[in-house]
Amino acid sequence: MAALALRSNAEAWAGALTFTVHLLLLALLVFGVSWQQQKVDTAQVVELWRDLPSSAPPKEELPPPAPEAKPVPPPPQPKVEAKPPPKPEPAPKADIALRDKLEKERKLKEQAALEAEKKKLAAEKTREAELEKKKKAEADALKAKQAADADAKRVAAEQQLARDKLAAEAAASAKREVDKYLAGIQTKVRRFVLVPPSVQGNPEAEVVVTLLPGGEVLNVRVKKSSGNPAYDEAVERAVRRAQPFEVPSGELFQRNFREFTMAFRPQS
Amino acid sequence: MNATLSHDMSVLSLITGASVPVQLVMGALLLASLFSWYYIFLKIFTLRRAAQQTAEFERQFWSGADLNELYQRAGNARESSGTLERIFEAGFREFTKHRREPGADVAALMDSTRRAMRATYQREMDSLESSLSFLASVGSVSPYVGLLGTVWGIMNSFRGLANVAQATLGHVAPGIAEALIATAIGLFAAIPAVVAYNRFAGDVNRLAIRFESFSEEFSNILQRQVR
Repeated sequence: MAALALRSNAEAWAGALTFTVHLLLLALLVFGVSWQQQKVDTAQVVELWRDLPSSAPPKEELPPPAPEAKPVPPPPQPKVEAKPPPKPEPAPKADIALRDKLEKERKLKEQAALEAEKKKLAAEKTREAELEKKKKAEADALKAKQAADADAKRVAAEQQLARDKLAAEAAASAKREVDKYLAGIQTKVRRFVLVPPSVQGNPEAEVVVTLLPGGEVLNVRVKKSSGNPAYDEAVERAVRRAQPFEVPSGELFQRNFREFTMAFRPQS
Repeated sequence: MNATLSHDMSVLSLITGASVPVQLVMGALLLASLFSWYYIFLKIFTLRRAAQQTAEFERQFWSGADLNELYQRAGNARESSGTLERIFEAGFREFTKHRREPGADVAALMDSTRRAMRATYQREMDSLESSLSFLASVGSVSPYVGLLGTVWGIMNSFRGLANVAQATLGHVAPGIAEALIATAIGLFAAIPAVVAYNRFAGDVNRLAIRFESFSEEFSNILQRQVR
């Protein structure tokens, strides 16, 4: 009795351990060996970047505003009219007194003239200084205005550049997307093309494919024959057999995949 | 035609997606693996127990216990007794029976005693060695069976290539992976079976040597008692 009990006990243990071992093996197979393929695109369009573009478009270095050509007015030379001193007239010998008087008068006159001259010079000087001041203020204003102008222009240019860049990036990414899908379709169709043995050389056949939004082929027609009707037909048939294709949805489809042209060669 | 370009390559889907012959092979291998593991565990337990019982009885026997007392105990607990105990019991029973007969020849007495022990020994060895041959055949055959499944799967996946113009790795790879699963299962079944077989064969051999030497020594003891 005891031995029988022991034996069946051992059998139960053996059975339980067996199942444990197999469950472990199964778990190892299922979780350890992850052969789950990522969905891969058959054709990758690779762009090489030296470094990652920062999220903000880099500030475009505009050349610093050209140094203002300072209109330097030539320093006004105070014009000193060196008037030649009036020559003493040959005194008439007629009357000495008169002559003296005349002399005196002349001297006085001369003095007055000199005085006037001096006064005039001073006035001129002040006027010139004022003019210079005014000119300088004007130049300063001009400079400030020009700087502001350049600043505004630079900002505008920067913004324009950023906008352009964004637009270009969007366009490029759309194009990449389209290229990816096109490459996928091309690869898929190529798999179904049975190249007839009569094909000579590597002629190109172009077909126009019309797709439904789900990727089904609505229509295929040969746009440019390869010169070998059998090959044209093979391509046409392959397009029909390879459907449905993977296509984007929405506008990208409407714009690029509603109707598009694809070229095929027997050997790519 | 499947629209997706990717293949589901998890192990489970590979197994369920395999062709019928390959699945049959996998099923057979799984069964073989289950049984071989079951026997492996069963053998581990029984051999360990046999070794324990042998050691225990040897200790009792060589510690100078009375032979009659040992015989009584062995006869009472026949169901739970170990191999060595049974050999001893069979030999001693034959010896006492034969001895009571008048005019017994010593040589004939010892011969019949030894024969009785030999018979018990062989029966016991047979039960100890049972299912070792199963492990041996699983270990040697299941890789071939797995290989058969693989070859079949690969043949199928190549035949599928015939109507494709441009053969790419993507066409063959899933079929081959699927087929290789069969080999993997075969190896999973075979490796433990081979290891266990070698281990158990060694263990049983050592036990057999212990049994044989014990029966020889016990015969000597009995022969000394006759005189």
